Amino acid sequence: MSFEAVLTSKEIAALSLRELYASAGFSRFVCRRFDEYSLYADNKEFLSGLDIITFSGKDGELLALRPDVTLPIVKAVRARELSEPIKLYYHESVYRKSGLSREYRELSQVGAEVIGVFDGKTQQEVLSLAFRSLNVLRNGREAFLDVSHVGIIKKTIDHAAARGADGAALAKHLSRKNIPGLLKLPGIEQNAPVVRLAALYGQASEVMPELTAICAGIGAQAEAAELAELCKGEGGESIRIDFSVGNGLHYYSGLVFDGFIAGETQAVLSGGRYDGLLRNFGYPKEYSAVGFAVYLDKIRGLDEN
Amino acid sequence: MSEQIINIALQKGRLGEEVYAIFERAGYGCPEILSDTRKLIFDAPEAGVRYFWVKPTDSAVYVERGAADIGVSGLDILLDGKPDVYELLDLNVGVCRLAVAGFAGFDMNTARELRVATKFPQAAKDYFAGIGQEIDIIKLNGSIELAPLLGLADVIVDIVESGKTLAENGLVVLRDISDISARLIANKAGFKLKYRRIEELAEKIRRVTDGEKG
Repeated sequence: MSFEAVLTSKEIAALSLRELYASAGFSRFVCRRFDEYSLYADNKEFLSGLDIITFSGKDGELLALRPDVTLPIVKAVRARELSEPIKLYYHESVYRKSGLSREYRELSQVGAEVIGVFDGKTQQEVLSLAFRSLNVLRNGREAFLDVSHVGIIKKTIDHAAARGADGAALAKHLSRKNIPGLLKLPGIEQNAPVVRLAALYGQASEVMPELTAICAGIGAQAEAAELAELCKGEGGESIRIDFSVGNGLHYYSGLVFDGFIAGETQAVLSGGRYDGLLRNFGYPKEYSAVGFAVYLDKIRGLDEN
Repeated sequence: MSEQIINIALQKGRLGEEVYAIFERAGYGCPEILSDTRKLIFDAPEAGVRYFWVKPTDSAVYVERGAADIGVSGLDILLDGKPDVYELLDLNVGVCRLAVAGFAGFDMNTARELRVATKFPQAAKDYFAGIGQEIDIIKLNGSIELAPLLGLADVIVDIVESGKTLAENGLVVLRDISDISARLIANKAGFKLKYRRIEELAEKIRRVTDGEKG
């Protein structure tokens, strides 16, 4: 009997992703079983409202079941001497209240992260790796990556906030493509950059002229050019631009993306550039980080046998 | 891709029928839907849509979980359940408001905890948290106006249409929380997958509702 015969399709998918990341030059990162609660509490905004299961250690210290793997990686890498960008992948369980049922669940995550001093090419590599991850998982179904840029979102929101609208309301409506809601805010009209940004959706080649025009009005030409460049990489025809992507604005600092597969009702992968989180951990300011996680438990197509 | 059918969750009842009429005028008619039948699912393949009737409070659930690509939901449900969906259009039907009501002259600025009866506990919590007032939520499922009359609650948070029910029970609106109307909502992944068809539908619906406003 072969190994494959006893593996579930979810396990095969996880191993295929690990193989993909290892052959792309990423090395395995294994988390400590438990971490101090403070690691997560100090970076709560990064976890955007995730609840954490805590318990006491032997000496009364407060420990936590990890709700996320990126934080332990950022913490562990900080202690290392880096001569070049470090590329890590992981396959771990995380414990969090899952979005829709709002119950605590153990979820299986596979993901990849790059931390170090790097240029746009590294972002492109990570985006390609995300695209190839979708290829591993899609099983003949249509798959695509929706990309966004936090720099553009921030400048658009600042532009609208300067005209009197509330920043939090702007961010919420933009993430829900809620144009009627935006139009009710003070100073926001049909042709406001934030309204045009909310309405924008499609392949880079289709929407780039409109995006360039919006960005010219808010001083975000460089960000638009960066996004255009990123969309030219591997799998470019499966990349779409969508500014409802981009939660946790505080830590994300540039590219953000979500991956979708036809038939799955939620994003199955998400990631982005999170230089802001490195600042929290005292990394030198030339350091950047980019990565993504695959949510294996959200892929119902893997449950079928 | 013309083979993509859009699944639409409509609310059972008067509001759902009003909303269906808008869809019909926008070119997404399905004559069978108004016939006297117990069927819950109605296909209109030539219009590229499938309708189903759901309980009003459930339509956001169908959409959030992707059983429906789009649906119609009252803003009260969206404020209370906070489903993770896109809000594409304000259909301008089912217009009313969410408000705090109580006896005329009741002073809400008390130092003590305010007892609030409502069908919409989350929306009520959010509102009072926003103004920094401590409250005790009493979740009721109907006849909310009864709560202050019997001393069960100090105030209520409820949907107010004409204010007639309030007036007949000796209550008045003390504060407005939000204007309410039916919204066209979309599942995030479903929108992305069928975006050309859904954008086309939303645009046609918007033309119908805008025409009616003017």
